[in-house]
Amino acid sequence: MDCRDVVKAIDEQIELNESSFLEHISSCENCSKYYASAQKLRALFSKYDKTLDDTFGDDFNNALFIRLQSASAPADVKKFRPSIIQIASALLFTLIFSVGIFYFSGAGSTGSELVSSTETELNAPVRIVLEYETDQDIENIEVAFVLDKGVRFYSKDEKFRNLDGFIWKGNLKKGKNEIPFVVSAVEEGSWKIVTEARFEGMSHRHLITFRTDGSKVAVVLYKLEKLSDNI
Amino acid sequence: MKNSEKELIKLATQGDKRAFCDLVSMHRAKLRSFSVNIACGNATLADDILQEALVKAFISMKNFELRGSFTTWLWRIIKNEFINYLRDPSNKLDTFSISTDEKDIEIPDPENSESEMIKSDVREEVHRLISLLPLKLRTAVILVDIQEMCYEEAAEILEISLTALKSRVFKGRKKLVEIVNGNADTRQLSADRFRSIDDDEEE
Repeated sequence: MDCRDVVKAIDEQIELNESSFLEHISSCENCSKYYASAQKLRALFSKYDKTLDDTFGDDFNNALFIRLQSASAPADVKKFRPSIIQIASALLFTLIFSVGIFYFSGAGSTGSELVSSTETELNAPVRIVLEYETDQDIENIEVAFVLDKGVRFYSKDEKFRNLDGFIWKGNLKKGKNEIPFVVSAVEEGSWKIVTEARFEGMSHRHLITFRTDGSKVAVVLYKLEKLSDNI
Repeated sequence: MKNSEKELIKLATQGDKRAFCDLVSMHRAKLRSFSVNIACGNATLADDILQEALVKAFISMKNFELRGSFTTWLWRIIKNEFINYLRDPSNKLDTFSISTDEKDIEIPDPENSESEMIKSDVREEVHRLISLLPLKLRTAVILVDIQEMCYEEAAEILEISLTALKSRVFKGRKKLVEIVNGNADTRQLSADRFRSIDDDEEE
């Protein structure tokens, strides 16, 4: 064994009782010192008392419970996409709503701006794709959806249909990103969905209105006013 | 997996916040220990990031698959939360003022465990040493050498191959031994710990 083999054996903590290893250690001052330091480190780690960290018990639980009060209910993000793909072929309309999260077309615009409109039937699925374009990767973005009672997420899952709100959390890659969702107007009347993309205190809102006329439903997408100059 | 744990997971998936807290309680000591270690002993930061990670875990409960290990899944979320935190160059671990004087790196005698004072010395020194490692090496050393986790589970948490994990552990140990040995360039190491995790050495 040479110095390199010995140091490798020490780093990998492999069996160190071989006679060639012991012989080398006893004759090589550098390796002997390295071995002693490694033993010291191992002893230090073995004496490290991990249990000391849990000294706060109920306080932590209470703090967590309070923090959870503002958290949305568990959401099945992974299953959300496949369910959209499943029903996509049955869709009558697809609305694509494209925005730049860092750059507004017409910076400094105020009020709302009509982006797109279409017509559908009561209870028919409408697939809406929010397209966000960014000039860099963005992590931990939240997109909140708030629905009036007459418009629901289009899903076989009753729990999902009953949601009045939903928060999508995820990351955006540089370039175009799509966040699709499927809804339907389920009652006659005038209804709306508000979406809001949030990122580090910045906010970007959109409004989708549903107005029924008999069995027909007019759907209109608006981009709302810019809420932050930082976007 | 214990039945009670399965039951709590089921309830938490349905949105039961108290059940989720009870579930966390079952693993709290290990989770917090892991967090405090990654934060190199900064308990306030560790608790804050841990709680944030747990809120995210609650929201993502439906993505947890019962056949997997709940703690491994949680550990992964916590690890990712720390990585996200440390990716931001404005976030730094406010832990110790790392001395660049080799004489100051003194290992307390771990064989002498007569008092709590020694225990706290050991803790402080462990945190001080691991804080000198870049994050990739630090997490690997924490999981394997401090949390005493098997390589397979640690690799699963870090979402890397077994070979990559072993490489990180061995490199981490080597750096630590060199520090203890007095051969390490502690100035360089002190700078390394604030490097972006993406700049860490490749396996």
